Amino acid sequence: MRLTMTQQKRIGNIGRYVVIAFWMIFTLLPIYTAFVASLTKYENLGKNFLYPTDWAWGNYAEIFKRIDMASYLKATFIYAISTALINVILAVFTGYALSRFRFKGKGLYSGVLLLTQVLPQVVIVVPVFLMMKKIGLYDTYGSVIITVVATSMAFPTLLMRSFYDSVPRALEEAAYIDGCSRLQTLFQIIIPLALPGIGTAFGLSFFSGWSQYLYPMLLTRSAEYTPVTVGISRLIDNQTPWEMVMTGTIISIIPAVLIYLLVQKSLIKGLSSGSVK
Amino acid sequence: MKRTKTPDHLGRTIEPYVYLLPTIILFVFILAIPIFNLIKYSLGDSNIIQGYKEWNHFENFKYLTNKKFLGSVKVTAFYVIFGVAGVVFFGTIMALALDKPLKGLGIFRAIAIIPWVVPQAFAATMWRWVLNAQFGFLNQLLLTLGLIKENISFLSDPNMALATVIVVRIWQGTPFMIISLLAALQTVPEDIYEAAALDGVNPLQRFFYITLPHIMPVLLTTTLIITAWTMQIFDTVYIMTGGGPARGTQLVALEVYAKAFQQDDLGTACAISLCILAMLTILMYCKNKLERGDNE
Repeated sequence: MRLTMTQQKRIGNIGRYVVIAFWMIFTLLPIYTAFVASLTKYENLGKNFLYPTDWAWGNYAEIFKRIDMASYLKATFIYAISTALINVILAVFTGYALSRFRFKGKGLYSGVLLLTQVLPQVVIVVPVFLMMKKIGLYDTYGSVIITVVATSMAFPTLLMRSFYDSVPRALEEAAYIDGCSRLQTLFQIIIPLALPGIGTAFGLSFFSGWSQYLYPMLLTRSAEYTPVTVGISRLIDNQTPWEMVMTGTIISIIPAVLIYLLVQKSLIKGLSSGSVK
Repeated sequence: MKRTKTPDHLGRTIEPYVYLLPTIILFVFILAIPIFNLIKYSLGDSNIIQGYKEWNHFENFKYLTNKKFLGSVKVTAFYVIFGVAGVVFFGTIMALALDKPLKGLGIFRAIAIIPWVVPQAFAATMWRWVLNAQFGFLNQLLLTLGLIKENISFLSDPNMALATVIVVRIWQGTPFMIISLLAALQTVPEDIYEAAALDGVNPLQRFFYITLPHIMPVLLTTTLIITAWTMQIFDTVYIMTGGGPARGTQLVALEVYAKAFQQDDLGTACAISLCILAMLTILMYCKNKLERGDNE
C-alpha cells in the first residue's frame, strides 16, 4: 500500500522532530548542566543535578571575589573588540582588492590567506613567542592582538569579498562617470550596500577574539592581560570548585551567545554566501 | 553565486597592493618570519630561552620516528578521522532535518549553531563537568536510572578519554557543517523533488540520487576545512585531559606544546611543526584542486 504524500510528509515530520529533539538535548546539555551547577552550593554538587534547587545566585558575586574575574573579563573584552575592529578595517580594503582587481600574486596571496585559516595556533605560537620576547612585545595586549588578527582575518576578508562580488558593477561605473574617485565610490556606494557583510565580519571576529586561549596564555604573563578562558581553566585542579568554574563559564559565554542570537540571521546568511562559493 | 570577470579598465595598477599592504606586513611579521625561524630552530639544538644554539645533524627529526611520537600520530589520526566522520554524519542528518519548513524551525536552527560560538576552552570546562566521575550529570543520571552501579570515570581510561574528546569535537564541529549544508540545500531545485515524488521515489533514493549529488561539492570542501580545523584543536583537549591518561589523548598539537614549553626541546617541537605544515599544505592543495574542478 502506498501512502499519500500528506501522510508521508506527516511521518517525515515526526521523524524530523525526533532527530531534532535528540540533537537539541545534546547541544544544550553541557550549557544547561553548567547553569544548574552555577546555582548550586559546593557541598550540594551532584545531589541535585536535574534542575537548580539551591538557587545560589551568590555564586555570581562570589566568583568576582574568588578570582580576578573583572580583570579577566576586561582583558577578554579588549582582545575581542580590538580583533573585531582591526579585522573589519583590514577586511574592508583587502576584500575590495580581491573582489575588484586582477593583479600579480593574487593566487599566492589567496594561498597565504588559506594557510592562516588552517595553521594550528600551536605551530605559530612557538616562534612568535621567541620573537615577541626578542622585540619586547612579550606580555602586552599588542602581542596577542597582532597574532590573533593575523591568524583570523582571512575569514572576514573572504566574506567581505563575496559581499562586494554581489554588488553590481554598473553602480560603480555610474559613480566614476559622475566623477567620483575610487575611494569615494567605495565608501559612498559599495560599503553601504555591503553593510550586512561588515556586521557579519565584525561578529565573527569578535568571537575569534573572545575565545582566545593559547595565544594569551603563552604571549603574556601578567594578570592584567589574562583573559577569562585562561583565568577560569586555571581553577581546575585536584579539588576543583566546580560551581565556581561553571559560574565563570556561564558569565563568559553569555556575551558571545547573546551577540550571536542578535546577529544570527545575517551571520548565517553571510556565512552561507561565503561558503557556497 | 557567479563571479563576474574584472573589466580590464580596472586592471593593472599598484592600487590593489596599497589595499593589501597592511596585511602583507602583518603576514611577513606573524607568518613568514616565524616559519623561517621554525625551520632554523628545527635544524639545531634549540631551546625556548636562547633560540637556536648549534647544528645537531638532524637530531630533532629523529623523534619523528620515535614510538612515543608515532603513538601521538595514531591518537591524532583516530581523533581526526572519527571526529570528522561524526561531524559529516550528524551535520548531514541535522541539515536535512532543519531544511524544509517546520514549526519552530527558526529556534531549532539558532540553537543548533550555538556550540560554534562557545569558546573551545569553555566547551572543555562544561563537558568536563558533565562527565565528572564523582558528581557529573551523566553519572548521576545513569545511576538514578539504574543503568550503572558504579560511577564511570570517563577521563581516566585512555580509550574512553579519546572517545570522549571525539564526542566533544563532534559537538563543536557540527554547527559549521549544518550552516554550510543548509545553504547548499537551498540550491537543489524544488521541481526535481516534485518530479521524483510523482515517480514514487522513496526518501532514501531521493537522498542518494538527488540531494547528495547536488550538495556534494559543498560537502567535500566543508569536510576538508573541518578536517584542517580538527587537526588544529588544542584548547579543548588540553583543558579536558592535558593529553592523558597515559598519553591516550596526546594529540600532535599537544606534543608540540609539551616539547617546546615543558620539555625544553624547541628543536623537536619545530621539527614536528614542520611536519604538520607539510601535511596541511597537501590538504589545502587537494581543496584547491576540488574547487577548481567545480568551477570548470
